[in-house]
Parts: sequence; C-alpha cells; structure tokens
Amino acid sequence: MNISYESVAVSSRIRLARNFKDYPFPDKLLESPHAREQAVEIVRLITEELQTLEKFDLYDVGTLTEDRAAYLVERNLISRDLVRHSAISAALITPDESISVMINEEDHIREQYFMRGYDLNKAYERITGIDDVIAECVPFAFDAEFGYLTACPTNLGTGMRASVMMFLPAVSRRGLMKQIVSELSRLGLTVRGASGEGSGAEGALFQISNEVTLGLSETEILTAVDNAVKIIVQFELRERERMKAEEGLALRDKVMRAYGILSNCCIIGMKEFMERFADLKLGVTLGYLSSEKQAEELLFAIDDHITAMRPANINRLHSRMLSEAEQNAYRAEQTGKFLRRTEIIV
Amino acid sequence: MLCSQCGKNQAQPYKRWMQEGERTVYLCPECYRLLYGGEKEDFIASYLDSAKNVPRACPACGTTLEEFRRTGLLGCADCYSAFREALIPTVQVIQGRVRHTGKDPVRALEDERRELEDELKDAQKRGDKFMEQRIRYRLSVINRFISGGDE
Ligand SMILES: [Zn+2]
Ligand SMILES: [Zn+2]
Repeated sequence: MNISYESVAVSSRIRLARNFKDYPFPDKLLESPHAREQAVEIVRLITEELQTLEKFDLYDVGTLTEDRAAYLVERNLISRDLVRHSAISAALITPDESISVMINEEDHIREQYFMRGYDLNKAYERITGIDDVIAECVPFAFDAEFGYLTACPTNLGTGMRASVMMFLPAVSRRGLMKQIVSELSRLGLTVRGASGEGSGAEGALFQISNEVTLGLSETEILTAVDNAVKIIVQFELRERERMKAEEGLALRDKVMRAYGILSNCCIIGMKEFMERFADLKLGVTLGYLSSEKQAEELLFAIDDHITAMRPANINRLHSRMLSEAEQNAYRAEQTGKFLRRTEIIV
Repeated sequence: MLCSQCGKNQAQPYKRWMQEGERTVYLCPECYRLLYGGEKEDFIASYLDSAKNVPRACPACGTTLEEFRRTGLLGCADCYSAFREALIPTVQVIQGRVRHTGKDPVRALEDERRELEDELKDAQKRGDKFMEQRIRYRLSVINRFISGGDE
C-alpha cells in the first residue's frame, strides 16, 4: 500500500511578524486619539505597494459583519486578535487564499503563506518575497541584537513561525502524543491542537511549529521543523500499520460506522462531525475506503468539505445567521450528498 | 473550585499536554510548582524586578515595565532600547538566545545600494535620464530606510 507523505503532513504555513519603526505597536496604538488615521495611512501604503505585485482583496475589519469576520477566522485567513482590534485592523488576502497580510493584529504586520501539502521552503520563498515588498513602503523596526522587533518578545528575531498541520490519528489514538510533545519541546518546537493557540486537538489534527524565533536563521528554523516533521511522519505511518495489524476488525468497524453515520444522519453537531470525519480519513489512509481519486486528493476534498461545514461558513452560504439546529440539519444533509458525490468505494 | 491536589486552596486552570492532547488541570499555584516546577513567568518577573538602570517608562510611548509584566506586550520599538537591560535576561529565558542571526533588512538593502550606485554611474555615462531618475528614487527609498534603521 502506498500512503503518501501528505496524508500525514496535510498543510504548511509560514508567518512573519513585522512592525513599523515610527508607530506604536497596535495595542498601544489603540490608545492614541489618532489611531484610526494612522491605521488608515498604514493600510493605504501597504495596499498600494502589494497591489502592484498581484491581486489582493482588502478587508477593513471594522466594517465587516460579525458573521463575515467569523467566516474568515474559520478559514484561518484572519485571527481573533485581528477582530479584537477591529477599530484599526485590516487584511489583504489573495483570491486563492494562499497569502494573507494582517494589518494591526498583535503586530503591525502579520504576513502568512498557506499551502496544501508539505513544502516549507516554497512557503518561505513566497512569503519572504512579500516581506521584501512591504519593507519598501515603511521602515521595519529592526535591532541588531533582537532582530525584527515584535510586540511580544516570544516572536523576536526572525518573527517567523513555520507550522505544519499533521493528521495523527494513529499516534494520538495510541496515546503517543505525550512522547512526541516532550521530544519536540527539547528541540525548541511545539505542538498545538488544530485551531491554534490553546485549543485542544480537533479531528486528530496537530500543528507542529517552532517555538524559538531568535538566534536561529530562517533556514535553521525550517530545517529543525522539517527534521521533526519527517520523524513524526514515519512514526505515524508505522503506528497506522501496527494499529491495523493489532486492531484490524475493530478498526474497520469504527471506520465503517463513521461512514454509515456520516452518509445517513439527519442532524450532526460540529464535535461529532469532526470525530467521525477523523475516523473516515483514517479509513482512507488505511485503504479501507477509496474512490476514483488518489487518496491524498480525496483527503483534500474531505478537508474542504469540513471547512465549508463550519458554522460561519454555512451561514455565508445562506447569507443569513442560521440557528444551531438548522446548521446541524444542513451539515448532515450536505455531508450525505458530499459522500455520494465522491463515490467512495467500500 | 478547589485544588485537585491538596483540596484546600483555590485552584486555577493550567494547560498541560497529556496523552492525546492538551488538558486543563486545576491546581493551586503552590501545588502546580511542586508538580511541574516553577513557571517561566516567575523567572521573568524576578528578572524584571532586579533590573536597575532602566527608566520607569518608555520615553516614546509611555509603556512601563509593570505594564509589560501584566500584558506581556511592549508598546513600541523604542521600548526595546529603553528596557534593554531588563529585557536581555527575559529574552534569554523565553528564547534561549539573545542574538539575531536571520534575515536583516538593512544588510540586504546595503548590498542593493552598492549595486545601484554602480548602475547610476553607468546611466549617467550613457546620459539615460529616465533610468537615472528611477535609480535615484530607489536610492532615496533605501537611504531613508537605512538611516531610519540606525539608532
Ligand atoms: Zn493545592
Ligand atoms: Zn515604547
């Protein structure tokens, strides 16, 4: 059986934190009576410069409806901190959603590049290019000793967070996460649940990223993350095989139950939805379920469906706020259709 | 809620990584320290307290060390100069290192400036006014950036 790397390392993201030299950092800027004018000026400068490069859509967070903002948060294009700063914040996002430049989040600039699959070097190439362009509009706050200056010292130096989303159903089911976590922390890396800071693991998705940002070059950071990812991929693949050997029928039962419920349910909440889909995806990686598509393509399609079925994403499809009960019914209906459409072969 | 360890003191939530992900444990600060060792925050607080030659507030934005300790955030780029002595040990605890070795916008631009100065001479020799103007504009951007980057 050929399980590709990308059934474990699902997506890659790099973000750079930057600040401008002559403005207070955003939390301080908020206290200033001229905050809004200064913010508008910053946004204008960056927007003009970036739009010469490629197409970016500008979102003024202050004028977004609550639901539209939640939609962008669910798609990881903006953060809750950005929404919290809505008086002064904005985001520039490419139509393909690969590049997002947040303005006045915790720092003046948070530039991020997101991609399907695993290629940190490509991600860094893309985002450092964007960084060079922004650097030309306004001087960044930079210090020979501390590197790029950030509002919080945890981001000093490179200001870089390189993170890889990893699907680890076997490792987490077999209680091996603790071992990975302590191993990684010794290497200056960290593990978080899928939806970022402080969240628990959702759907067996874990985010591996560098903790240390200062004193290492960007290349050294990328190499450290890369080494860890490679080891974890091998670890997960080995555990999947072991699990299959040891738990065979029970595991297949779990996968098929998930498939049965997701195909036939009439109401489903987010929590159960995530759990069942984690089982279903595990079934795809173990070869219990397949389709006309390649396994990794099928997994990507499933991830797109999961994102589209989050609450604010559902609301956006309806252009109105649905009640939770309405959402749960809609999610069930669409999931049944989705699974029939993908023609999964059991 | 009472501490799940001693059952006597008021508990507060701490995030810990356990099997299958992150869990919240409810302990009093004392038991937390006994079980997991001191927290980073305690180190930082003691370093900040011991710092001597630092101003009470950042001259540029008015942020105080007390504010930094409460929020974890500095107010502006100048805070780093103002509080440098207090921040170095803090950064050492957080990052393990205190010297940046990565991308440097100034160094990259200095290289570009040298190249542009050569190109400018060529353009002047050729009498290419349009090119000369473009290069001069770019040089002015770079010079403004570099002089702005120096303390
Ligand atoms: Zn206690
Ligand atoms: Zn300051």
